[in-house]
Order: sequence, then C-alpha cells, then structure tokens
Amino acid sequence: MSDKPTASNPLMDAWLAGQKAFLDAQAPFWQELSQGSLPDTSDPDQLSILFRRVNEQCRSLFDAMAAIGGLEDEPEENVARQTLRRMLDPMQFSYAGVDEVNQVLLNLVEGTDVPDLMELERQRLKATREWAVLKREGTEYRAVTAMAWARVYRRFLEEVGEDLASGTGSPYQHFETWLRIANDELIRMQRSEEYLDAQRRVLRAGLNYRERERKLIEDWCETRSIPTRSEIDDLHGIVYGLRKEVRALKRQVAERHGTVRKRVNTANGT
Amino acid sequence: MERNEAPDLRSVLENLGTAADFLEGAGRLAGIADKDVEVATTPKELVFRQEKVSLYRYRPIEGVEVRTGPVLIVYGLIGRYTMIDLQEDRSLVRNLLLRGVDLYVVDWGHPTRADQNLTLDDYVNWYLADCVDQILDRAGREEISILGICEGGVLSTLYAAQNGERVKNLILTITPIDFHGDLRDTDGSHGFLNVWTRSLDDSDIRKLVDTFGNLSGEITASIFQMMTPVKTLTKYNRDLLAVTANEESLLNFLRMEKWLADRPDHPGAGALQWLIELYKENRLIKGTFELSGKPVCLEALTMPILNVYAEHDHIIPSPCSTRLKELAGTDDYTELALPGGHVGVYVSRKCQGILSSTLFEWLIERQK
Repeated sequence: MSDKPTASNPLMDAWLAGQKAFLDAQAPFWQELSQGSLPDTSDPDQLSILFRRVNEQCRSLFDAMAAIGGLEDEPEENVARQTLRRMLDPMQFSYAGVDEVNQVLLNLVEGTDVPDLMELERQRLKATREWAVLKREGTEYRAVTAMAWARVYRRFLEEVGEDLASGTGSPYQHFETWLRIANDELIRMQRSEEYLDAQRRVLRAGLNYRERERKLIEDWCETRSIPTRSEIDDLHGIVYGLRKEVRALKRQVAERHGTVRKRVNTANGT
Repeated sequence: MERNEAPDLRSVLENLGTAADFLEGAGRLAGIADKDVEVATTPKELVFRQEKVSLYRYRPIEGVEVRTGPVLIVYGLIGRYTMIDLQEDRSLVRNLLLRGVDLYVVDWGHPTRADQNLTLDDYVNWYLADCVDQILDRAGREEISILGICEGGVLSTLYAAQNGERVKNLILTITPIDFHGDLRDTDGSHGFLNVWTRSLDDSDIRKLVDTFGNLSGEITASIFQMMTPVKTLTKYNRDLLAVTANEESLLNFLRMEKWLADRPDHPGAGALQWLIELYKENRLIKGTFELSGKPVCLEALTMPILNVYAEHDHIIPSPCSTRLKELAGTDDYTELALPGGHVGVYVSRKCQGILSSTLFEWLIERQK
C-alpha cells in the first residue's frame, strides 16, 4: 500500500486555541440550540472542558446505540458503524468542510509516530526548524479560517439578530440561515488568495517536515542495515522499467507471429 | 445550566424538535450490517486480468436480446467504477443491460506504492489497449464503443485519439477536456478543484506525490469535501436525519458512503501528468499533451461522439466538458446536458432514466 500515516495529531494545542475562535463564531447557534447560557468563551481551559464533556456524552451515546443495534460486534470498517460514529461526533461541526481538509493534510504529512522505536529521535525531530514552521503555518491557516467564521457570525447577527432577541422564527429557520451564510462565506474564503496561500504554506511545511522525518528514519535504518523507503522506491522503479521491456518484447514476438492485433499508434512498445 | 457545563445532548435535540427522530434514526442505523449495503451487485464475469487491472463483462439479462456491439465502461483512477451500479434501482449498468447493451467494465483496482511509476500512457496504451483487444477478439469485431466517466473519459479520449480505427463510438460523461474551462463558469461555487490545483506550484505537487509515492485517496477525498463546505458540515446530522426515517433512503445513503470511502490512491507518475500537465498547463486542448511520445490531437476524434455533462457540476464545470465540441474532428457530435451535479448523473433516478435511454437510442442509431 501507499504510505498511510496514522491520525497522530501533534497540532492539538493549536487546534484547541482554534476552538475558541470557532465557538465565538458559533455562539448564537449553540445558544439557540441549547436555549441555555453560554460558557465563558474567553477562557480556553473552560472551553476545552466543555468540549471534552460534549465528546464524552456523544461517545457514551454511540456505545449505547451500537450495543442496542448489535453493531458492537461489527468490524470497525462497517459503514453503518462509521456513519453512526460520525453522526454522534460533535467534531463534525468544527470541521465544517474546511478544517477537515486541513486535518487530513496534516495527518498525512505528519506521518506515523513510532514512539518505542525512536523516541529520542522523535523528540529531536520536534526541535527542528521544520516542526516550528509547521506549527506556525498551521496556526496561521486556522487564523484565516477563523476570520471567515467571524464574518459568518457578523452576517448572521445582521440578518437575524432582531429575531433572536425577540424570539421570532424557529430554531430550524435560524439554523438554515446560519448554514446558507456559512456556505457563502466559506466558499468565498476558499477562493481568496489569503486562504490558498495559507493552505499552500501549511502543505509545504508539512511535506518539509515529513521529508526531514524520512531522512532521520532512513539514517537510523542505514546504521542497522534495514532497507529504506528510498531503496524500495528505487526497486519499484527498476521493476517497472523491466516490466515495460518484457512486455514490449513479448508484444513484438506475438505481433510477428500474428497472435495479437497489431497496434499502429503506440510508440512506447506496449 | 452552569456556565461551564456541556449542554445536555438530549435537551439540545429536544430544542430542535428532533430528539425522537434522532434516536430512532440512530437506532435504525445501528441495526444495519455491511451485507445490507452491498454495492456493484449486478452479475458479471471476469474476462481478463493483468496485475491489478480486471476486465469484466456484465452478464446479459435473461430474456433480453443483445442489440448493440460491445461497450466498454472506463472509470477514472479517482474513485471506483462501482458508482455506476450502486443499487439495483439506480444502476446505469442494469438500465443499459435491460435495453440490450453488451456491456463491459474495466476495474483499475487499488494501486499501491509499487504502482507509483505508472503513467497515463501506461493506463491508456497498455492496460486499456489490452482490454479493448481482449473484447474485440472475444466479440469477433474490429471496433468497440467506449463510455468514459470523468477521468476515465479523459483516458478514453486519449485512447480514441490515438487508436481511432478501433473506436466505433465515443461516449463521454462528466469529462474534463478544457481544464481551465472553470474560468468561464459564472457560478462561484464551481471549479474549486481547478482553482486549488492552479494555486499550487509544480514543486508542491511533485513533493506531495513524491512523499507518498502516489496521490493519496485521502487527499482527493478531502478536496472533494472542501468543495461543498456546508454539505460536509450537515451531512452526518441534518442530512442523515432526513433519511433515517425511511429505511430504503438510509440504505441508499450508506451505499453512497461506502462508495465515497472506497477511494484508491492515484498512481504517482500519472497523478503528476493529471495535475500538472492537464489541470495546470491545460495541454490537452493545446495539442501539447503527449502520450507514448506523440502529441494527442483532438482533431483525430473523428468517430461519433456523445458528450454528457451535468449543468450544475461543481467538480467538472460544464464549460470544461463542452469545449470538446470546438476541438473534436467529428461531424457527428451530440451533447446531452443533465440537470443536477457531478455524481447526480449516476445516482439521481431522473438523470439515470434520461441518460440510459438517450445513450441507448444514440448507440442504436449508430450500430450500422
């Protein structure tokens, strides 16, 4: 298989900070939903506790539902099980169609933690310039998306602020309005130079970090005579070239003996 | 509620007036096993296999006369061909078989890092060419009709442009030809894939592919999700709730989920051609895209062409597809605009009906 780094998330700190901006922007939405008072959004620690509790509630609900439906015995890749988990995952809201991409990009470029094997090396890696750049770019990327959410919040208040204050309109209507505004603003943001630049920089930083990590791992492997990723890739390249040559030769022989259709337009010997 | 207390989930749902629906829906969801949501179930037989590539022939439906020559369905390397046969009542495959089309499909499999050097040339002039030869030998024919889908439409176009003598008809659906066509689309929500790719330097793309060997399916999936930000936001709550009351709708939702989750990695060398030479440099319409060392000339497409596109396609904006009309060398060019979006062409019941009947009639008229 291709490299499938696991979902390690060393940018959790930056993410938690991002939650503050996110919750600030969504405050009226949650207020409308819960019809209760909001937490103190100026305190990141309290926000973390709040989010943890919501997550715990949802996890409990998932476990209960899975047990009732018999899903607990199904494999993790069961599509209904995965969908139920997403349905009960409050993080789905925070991804909001833009940060999910960032998460995937970051997960992919950050790669797998190998804690037992190379703890010291890993620590060293996190002290590198590439790591610092990755953290900075990740934070700046989230700042750009947070600004878009702030614009959503502002527009939402402009459009329905009075209704909210007077209790006019249903939560469903407000929810739909919120979604429409969010869609407009997020799509507009995605096409802005600012956003594209921030995403390009976070991607580049992640790949540079990954490159650094690979070199470190390969150095470690070489000292222990373990084949490296680069060596295996070289091997794939050689096998690919040989496959093409063998195929071209077989084709020539078969065409000469008239056992296959002649191809007039292909030039690569296939 | 205390200020730092998490809002009680049940009270939140009750405020939405959907608590009962939510719990009932979640309960229904929890009772569904994987076997309930199988996809691509139309019977087919393996004709030919080469490495990870498989060619299948769909079994004709009993009692239905085969009325056309062989038609080969070519899906892209992004996503799986199972989209055309997601469920029995919304299956392009079944709809065509019911009308008497002799149908084949090529399955590219799941490329791995060992396949990172495969180029578009290899897919067109190696695997696809072998599949076509296999079908022609088997059917005792000299020509075949090809039905390309999305990136598979591009592969089909490349093949047809260089192997015109083997292609009787070319049918393209939601296929990009002019990769900068998004610039002529006035809908601001369309074409983000084009914008995103152009925003990257070539070196970024090379590094992205080099780092993982291939273009990761996870990356492409996330880009697709990014294109519809609020849809992604509401998918597993509002949208899912809307379908959970009806078991059949819920199963359809899950089948689509299954297809979405099955996103293979795109072989690296081919991905570089796809992203840099096509998406960024737009070489296909300039006549500078080379396959097997020879430039691909769209004027060489002299066979009948049916070009199907979606009017509200946010992934392949319609101007990207319709540009073919100006560039193809054929005198027999037909366009079919379908309502809805990219995937809707294959999963919307309405589109399915229009597509399969138009496609069949168009084919029958060109059987002689």
